[in-house]
Amino acid sequence: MNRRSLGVTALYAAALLVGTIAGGAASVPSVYAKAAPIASQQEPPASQAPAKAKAPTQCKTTKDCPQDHVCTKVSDHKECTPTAISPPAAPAVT
Amino acid sequence: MPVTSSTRGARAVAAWLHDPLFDLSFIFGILGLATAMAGATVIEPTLFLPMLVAHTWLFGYDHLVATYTKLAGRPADRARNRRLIFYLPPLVLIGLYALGRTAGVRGLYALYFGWQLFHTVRQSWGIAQTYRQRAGGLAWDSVRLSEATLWSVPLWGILHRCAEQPEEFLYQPIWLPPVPLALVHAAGLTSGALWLHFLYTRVRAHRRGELPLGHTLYMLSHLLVYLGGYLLIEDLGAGWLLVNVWHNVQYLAFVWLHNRRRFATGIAPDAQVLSWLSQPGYGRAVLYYLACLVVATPAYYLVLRFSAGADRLFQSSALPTIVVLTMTLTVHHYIVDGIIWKRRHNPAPVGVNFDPRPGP
Repeated sequence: MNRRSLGVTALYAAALLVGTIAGGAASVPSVYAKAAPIASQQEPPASQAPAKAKAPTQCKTTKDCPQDHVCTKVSDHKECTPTAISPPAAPAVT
Repeated sequence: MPVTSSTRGARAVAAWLHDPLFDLSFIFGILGLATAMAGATVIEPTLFLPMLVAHTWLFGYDHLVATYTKLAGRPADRARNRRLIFYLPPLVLIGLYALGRTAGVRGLYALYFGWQLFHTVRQSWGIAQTYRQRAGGLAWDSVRLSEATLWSVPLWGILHRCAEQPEEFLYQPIWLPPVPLALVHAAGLTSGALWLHFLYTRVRAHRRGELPLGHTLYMLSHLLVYLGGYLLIEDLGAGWLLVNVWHNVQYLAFVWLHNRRRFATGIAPDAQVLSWLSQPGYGRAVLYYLACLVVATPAYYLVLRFSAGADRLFQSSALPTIVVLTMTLTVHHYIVDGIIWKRRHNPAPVGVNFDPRPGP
């Protein structure tokens, strides 16, 4: 490996290191903007709140869903379903 | 190890890439794995996200790392590919960043959706051509017609997806150009005619005792995967998963085979680890796969951490760094793959009958 290649390698490594340290710092906030809740998701006034569990929220895309939910097809419609894994904000490499 | 395997039987010429075990696993095993993973998400859509994570980690990241065994496995490779290794990534990064700033995440995902289709089909065409070479060239089978046949299903599929106008892909917004349904039907009719012609020529070849088994089975597996992935499976993500598990695992196996032949003469002093991993035996193949995984996992973890740090520093949320960075790695892989597998980049080792062209 010649000197120029070593220099470029060092530059890349340093950039990765800086990012890793910065990224590893405590209290890193989520970089993904949360969608504003759609009307059907807004909490009803306490007086109108149903006593039983809320019905699943219908959705068109994941942006319509609250955090930790994704829009999933259930029989003939789509609804927000909870997920333990955050949806990836990047294409799965192929 | 026999470099080529052509076994003329009464009715067929096998013409495997390696041997029956490898090739039948390569064609049917990978197809079965991809079908099982995608099929599970069709039956139970809530499984899609866990399956996507598993696929990305087990086959996605390491398949990309496998590229580097070819791109930079030996000092001679690094010298020959210096521009691709060091200068291309920043250019891709700048290009994608500019696209992201102007067209947003939706535009980046539109680019990704189109390019990944092109990339996977091109790889499939390369593998089909390798099977053709093993079968002696198949002079009776037009290369151009075969290419049109192979491309016709993915083309029909993407037109079908465009006509559907999906709003979301892998949980992100996407835009695809609207396409009239008549065009989709025309593409379907053309593809149907081409595949019927393909089947007709294969039946005739079988009657002559010249059926190239490897090439025929591979072409049929290609048909099934793209038919399922872009036309039969309704969900865009599940269909994509079928094609991509198939593509990624196939790539890992194909690059392993390439390295097996490249280091067929034994351990190379200038690439001791890679050449040791590429020696005969399926145990070494497993170690080769695990080595790719061991390199890929922390590398992508660092990229994810770097992205989080960069977004925190620049207070950015409109265009997440993780999208730009991971897509840079992916697009770099697409471009590099289109170059390094061409014949002029593959000098055959002395004494080894090896012609990898045209690989993935």
